Amino acid sequence: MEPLEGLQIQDFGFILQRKGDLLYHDGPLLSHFINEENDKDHYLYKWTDMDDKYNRWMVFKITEADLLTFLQSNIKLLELIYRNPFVFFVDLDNDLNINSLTLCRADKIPADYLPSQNSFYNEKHYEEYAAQLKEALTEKAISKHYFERILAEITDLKKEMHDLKKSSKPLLINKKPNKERKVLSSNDITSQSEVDNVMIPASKPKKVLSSIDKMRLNNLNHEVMEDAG
Amino acid sequence: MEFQYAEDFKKLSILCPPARYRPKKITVFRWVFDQMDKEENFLPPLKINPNRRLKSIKKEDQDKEKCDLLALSMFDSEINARNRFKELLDGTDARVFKTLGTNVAKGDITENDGVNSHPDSKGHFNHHSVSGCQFEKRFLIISSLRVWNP
Repeated sequence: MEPLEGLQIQDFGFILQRKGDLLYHDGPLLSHFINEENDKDHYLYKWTDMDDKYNRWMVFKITEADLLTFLQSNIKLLELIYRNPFVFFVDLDNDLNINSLTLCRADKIPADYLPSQNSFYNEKHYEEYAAQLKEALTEKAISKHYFERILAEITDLKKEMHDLKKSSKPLLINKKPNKERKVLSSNDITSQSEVDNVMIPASKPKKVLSSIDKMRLNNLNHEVMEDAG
Repeated sequence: MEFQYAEDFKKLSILCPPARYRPKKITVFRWVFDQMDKEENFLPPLKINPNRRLKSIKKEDQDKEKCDLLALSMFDSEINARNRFKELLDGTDARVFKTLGTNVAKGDITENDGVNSHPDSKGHFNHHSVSGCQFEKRFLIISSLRVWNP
């Protein structure tokens, strides 16, 4: 096996759990692991070498986003490795005991241990597990995207509400049109019927709130009041 | 039919070989190393020391994998054998020659040699052999996996 330049360590400092194999023939060649205590910490085990006693695996961390990008064939395995400043090399015996564990700088990885320039994910070449993982990560990414959009919208609306509250101009409630108009602040709006009658008064430009704006205003008013209280 | 690794099968929590495996007379192709008499050429992966495994969590998964690793990998055609090797080579690195083999060998197996899984979409199947098959004398190297236009 190639000599390794790096720091000998006792253990990973965390427990890795094998989730599935990405490339396999007569045993794994590229496998997906997660940190047992944090399922967002993904690792790949890439088989790299062997002698008459040990199999050597390169172990490197990978973000969930990069893993998905790789499974979408937009990044090479080689690039995934180089996104780490350090990788691990673990030599396992026949009973899967660790003989040695080396922390190695990515720029010190022996050239023969690096995947080819053509190491893009190809669904037809990879195990079925890879396609399942891609699907699961895609769904997760979509859910996250929608959650972030909703969160951003809530934040915008809260800001809008806050600005309205800070506004010096009072809101009028048109309870008795053409007779007397009650002057209220936005804090006084507590029911849908009141909201329905809210108008921006007198001053220019005169804006009538849409029913959706009114509902948002009502909901946000509650939220802001809850936050304040 | 007395399988070569019957004693290992008994230690597993699952039925090995699986009931769907069938004996068949067929011409097969297998990756082998340069020297045909090298013991590893016809040893199942679990019997190669050190074997290329990683820990599984569930005992059932471990045993299923062990059963697979007690079989010999075969292909139903030379082109399928070569194509699959190229796929793995592209996905990993040139070191795979060291663990997977360097040549394609061709041989004939019969109903008396053991049982086979159904070939998958890549033409790969598992063969669980009986004792005394002496495949090393019945297979011939027909092409090198290092050369892509033989």
